[in-house]
Amino acid sequence: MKTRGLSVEMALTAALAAAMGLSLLAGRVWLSPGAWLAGDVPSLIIVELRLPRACLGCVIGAGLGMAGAAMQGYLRNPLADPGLFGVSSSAALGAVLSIYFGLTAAFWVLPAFALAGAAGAMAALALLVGRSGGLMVFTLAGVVLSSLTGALTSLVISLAPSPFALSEILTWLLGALTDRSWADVALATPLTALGMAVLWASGRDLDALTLGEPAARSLGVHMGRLQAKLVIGIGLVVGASVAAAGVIGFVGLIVPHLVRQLVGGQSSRVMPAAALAGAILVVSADGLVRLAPGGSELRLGIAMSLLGAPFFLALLLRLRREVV
Amino acid sequence: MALSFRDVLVRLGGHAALGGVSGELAAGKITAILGPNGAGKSTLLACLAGLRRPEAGTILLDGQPLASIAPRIRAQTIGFLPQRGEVHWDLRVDALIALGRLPFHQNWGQSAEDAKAIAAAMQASDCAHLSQRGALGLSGGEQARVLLARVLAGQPKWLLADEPLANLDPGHQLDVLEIFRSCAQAGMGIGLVVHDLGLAARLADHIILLHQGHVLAEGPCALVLSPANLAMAFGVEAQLNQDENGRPRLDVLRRIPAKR
Repeated sequence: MKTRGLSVEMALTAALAAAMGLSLLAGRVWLSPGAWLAGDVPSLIIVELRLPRACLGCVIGAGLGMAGAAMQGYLRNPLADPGLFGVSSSAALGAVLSIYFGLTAAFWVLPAFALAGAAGAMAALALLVGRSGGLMVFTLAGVVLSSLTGALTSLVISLAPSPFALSEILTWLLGALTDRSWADVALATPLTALGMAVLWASGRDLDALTLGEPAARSLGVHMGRLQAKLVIGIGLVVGASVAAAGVIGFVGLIVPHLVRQLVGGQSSRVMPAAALAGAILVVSADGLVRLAPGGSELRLGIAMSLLGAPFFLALLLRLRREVV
Repeated sequence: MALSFRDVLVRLGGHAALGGVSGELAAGKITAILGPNGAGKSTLLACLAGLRRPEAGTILLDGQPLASIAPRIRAQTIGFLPQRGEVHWDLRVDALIALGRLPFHQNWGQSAEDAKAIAAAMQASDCAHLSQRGALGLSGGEQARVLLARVLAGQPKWLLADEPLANLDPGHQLDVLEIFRSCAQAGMGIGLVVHDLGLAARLADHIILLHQGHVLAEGPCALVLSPANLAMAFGVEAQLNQDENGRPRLDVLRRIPAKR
């Protein structure tokens, strides 16, 4: 029924390499593969503009894909999304505040605010839920947190000091990889890698949860500890991605579904494959965004939702057919 | 070798679900935990499995308090089969059964020992032919056998199952009973929450009869399933007879009207 071995992962890795390669060549100016070494402007475009952008897309996509797989595995719900914990909206609130206060002169301020927002969300979750490890309280706390921070973000927007700040906030909220530099890559990579390592380490516990909570606990899974690992892992991954690229939705929701068709439903196998597929999705979507006609570039966050919403509808229709 | 409980007290939502009960499960025997709805059967089983910590009293695994045993060791020793067998993702059957080996995994991948235990478990519960199927595409009876194989793959010394026979048709009930029987013969201690009095009478070596959070009677079938106990616990008039093969058979005759 499902492919065993690592052939799927290898195919995905090859596809990711191809997507990365193409995204270096594609854009307003098409470059030939030889341009890398041509020196001057073309190689500058590749090394300073497109390569960091592709790398950042890869890191963020991988993180979001894996976080989505972990989230769905934990909640045993195919409709769960890493944004559900409220981490991404809290990070967004932090970033928006830094723009509101006009602190964007130094490169590191906005990401630092975003990360502080993510950390605040993680701390609030830990406080609200305590060590009980209960699923319901946890999910509700996340929902409350995201609607609260969403409301606060709207408040900040409505109080924006100037039209410039307003447009900066709105543009930023849509999420994009435009004009990202190596400094963004250097910021997002270690945090995402750490978060992914934490999530990866919870793979076996998530596998056990396939059998439901009582059976998983009888297999030695400590629900409170698992929850802590997930909050930390998802907080780091999502916090880093929002800090570097703004809010990019749907990746964590869609990718695990695509991957499950290939590797089956076992969370410990879905997670790494979802990381690869997430990277492919974000890198290629970002490439397409650059190619889209029009004066200004389509924002990646918008493009992802335009892609994601129909996909999600199709998924719902299929789920409904399976249930009936 | 015994899994025993002493003065176990559990309160659920204000009232005592278990009001200081004591008893014992023996290795190599099938112990049925019986009682009407709400008597505290599942609560007791969860305590024995280490999934619920009683407010007072202790669970002893071969004389050692269960609470002091590391979860990993406990998971290797006690297998637990929950009431409604949940399967959330469409795992392949062999991967699902392999989950029973999780408490033994040092690192990733399967050892030769794991593979052997999984094969033996599949054989014991007759689901080797299903190993390549998706778990969600199975029938109820097949799924029950696969989930039982998942527990057996852990080669536990104790097997605790909550209503393992519910929702199975008679043929599959007998199949599963047979598996329990041979596990007990191999030395496994088995504790089952059972609803069906007739099945309990046929399969159990030892019965713990719960009533309103207390042990009403404990001992061999013939002693515990007396007309007086059954009337008290279930409000029915019933008789323990023998069938033509000399096996116990419980006949429930009529409802005793509740006293006003």
